Amino acid sequence: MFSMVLVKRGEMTSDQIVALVLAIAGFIVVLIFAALFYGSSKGQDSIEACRLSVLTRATTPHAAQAAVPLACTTGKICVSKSGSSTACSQFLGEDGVISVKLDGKTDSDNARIIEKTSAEAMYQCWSMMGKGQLDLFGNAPELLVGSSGQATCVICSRVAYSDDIPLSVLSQVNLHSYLENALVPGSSGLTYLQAFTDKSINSFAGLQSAKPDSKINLNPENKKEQDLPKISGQTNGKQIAFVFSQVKPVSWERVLQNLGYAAVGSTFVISQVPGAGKVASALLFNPTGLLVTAVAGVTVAGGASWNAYEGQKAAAGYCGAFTSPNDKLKDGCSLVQAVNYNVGDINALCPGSIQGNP
Amino acid sequence: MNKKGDLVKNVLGILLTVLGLAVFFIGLSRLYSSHVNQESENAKRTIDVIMKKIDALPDGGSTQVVLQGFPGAENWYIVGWNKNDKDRPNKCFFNNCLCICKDDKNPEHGVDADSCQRNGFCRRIKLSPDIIYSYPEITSGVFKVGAYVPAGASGEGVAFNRVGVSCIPLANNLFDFNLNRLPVNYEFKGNSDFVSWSLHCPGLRYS
Repeated sequence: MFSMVLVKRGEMTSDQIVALVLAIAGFIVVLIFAALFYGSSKGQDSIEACRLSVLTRATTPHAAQAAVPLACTTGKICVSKSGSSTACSQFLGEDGVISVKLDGKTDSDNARIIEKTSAEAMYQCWSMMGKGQLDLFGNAPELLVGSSGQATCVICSRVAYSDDIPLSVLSQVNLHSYLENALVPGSSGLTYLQAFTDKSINSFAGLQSAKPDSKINLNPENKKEQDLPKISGQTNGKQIAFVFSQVKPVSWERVLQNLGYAAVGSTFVISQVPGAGKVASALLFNPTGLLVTAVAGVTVAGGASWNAYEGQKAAAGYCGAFTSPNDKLKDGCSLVQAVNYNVGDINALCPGSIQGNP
Repeated sequence: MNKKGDLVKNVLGILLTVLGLAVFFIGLSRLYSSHVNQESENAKRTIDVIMKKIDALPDGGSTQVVLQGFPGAENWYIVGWNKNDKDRPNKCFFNNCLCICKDDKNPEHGVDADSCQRNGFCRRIKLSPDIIYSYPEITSGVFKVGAYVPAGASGEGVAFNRVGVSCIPLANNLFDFNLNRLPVNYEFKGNSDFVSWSLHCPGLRYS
């Protein structure tokens, strides 16, 4: 007797081959999708990381807040005719530059593109930082830099303008008007002004008249102009920054009163019309809680130079109760505004410290 | 019966397992990178920006750079090392180099090559300059308590007119930084107000 031993080798059937090919093809598709998603959403990743870190810090007890870093990296936006991310020499050597191309048919169209870029940057900053109602710095200033009552800031983004943009475009930029009329993407029909304040507010004029006896007093101590803190107005090569600042003044109610508001916990938007003489160019907090103006010391030489800041004077803010884990320290004021990106102006606005990553 | 090739039936399962593990480890590495020491990353980014701006300078050119500080930046400083300095960090090898280093607050030695070797990031400058100068411009000031007092000075409270030190402290807000690519050397000059003498810098000189 003998037995036949059947030797079956690992021969693949057609079903197995098909399954294998489909699995490999599916794997490749997933990899491509992941690569595209990761590449395109890298910017969104950093925004969401910032937002998450803001929420985490705001809900952390004050004693531990300083240990929670803000994962907010300053955005870099280069606006140019060419659309190249290397067109702005201000960002030489820096990574992560986003380019905005001015491809409008007219100078007016291109000015709208600049306004759109600025409005989005400003609103994104405000939204990312919790719309000013989160207590982000707690007693962090005392822990981090040993100071109190001084504004602490996050530089949300820097917007630089390349030299190939003609003055005829830049001189038409009016962020004030854009905020009043343009709709915030994905906001169910709200303008930027409404998104910053209230959906019932349709214009800056309406903002003023809605408040009885409203009067903005940006010089509550009636200081002489020469005694007001100065901001240089230097353009540093046509670059502005959208800065979020927060402070816990002695009396935030007085801050609101000086802005003509009687309500508690109010948001506000302030704008100055370009070219309206010596108007407030930036807003500063001081430890006593008064909102002090700073008069621009800009001199426009022969009309040929351009101050990036001139067309973008707008600030949005909130004064009132913060969402804070500490009941005793939960009142204050927050502000987002465009500031000329230079050492003097930024450090005047942020004497506490600058948080986040460069 | 000797059945071979059973593995073929499990290829799909193996592929799915590999895919799942890959996604898991990628997610894990991203989670880790988001929690890596952000202060060190910011310092590294700062020195890299400076180096790129240096590389873009023509011979004889100069530029002023605005640098944004970061939380903890007040503990870091920038120092240049020459290729002839016998005490330079090993990271510089045989080149001139510019380093960003963390002050480890050691009262014995303060800021030196060891600090840079341990807690710093150095970038080699391969071109010909023999001398790297890096210093803040200080026009007046007084040594504060606890500061390093150089030989010849009478101790704390000594007023000085002009001091050059071979390192530039960073600030946690914005600060200016001048880069001069001179014919025979590079010059790095910080413009920030120097309010603290807690840093001990090599090559301190005063007048």
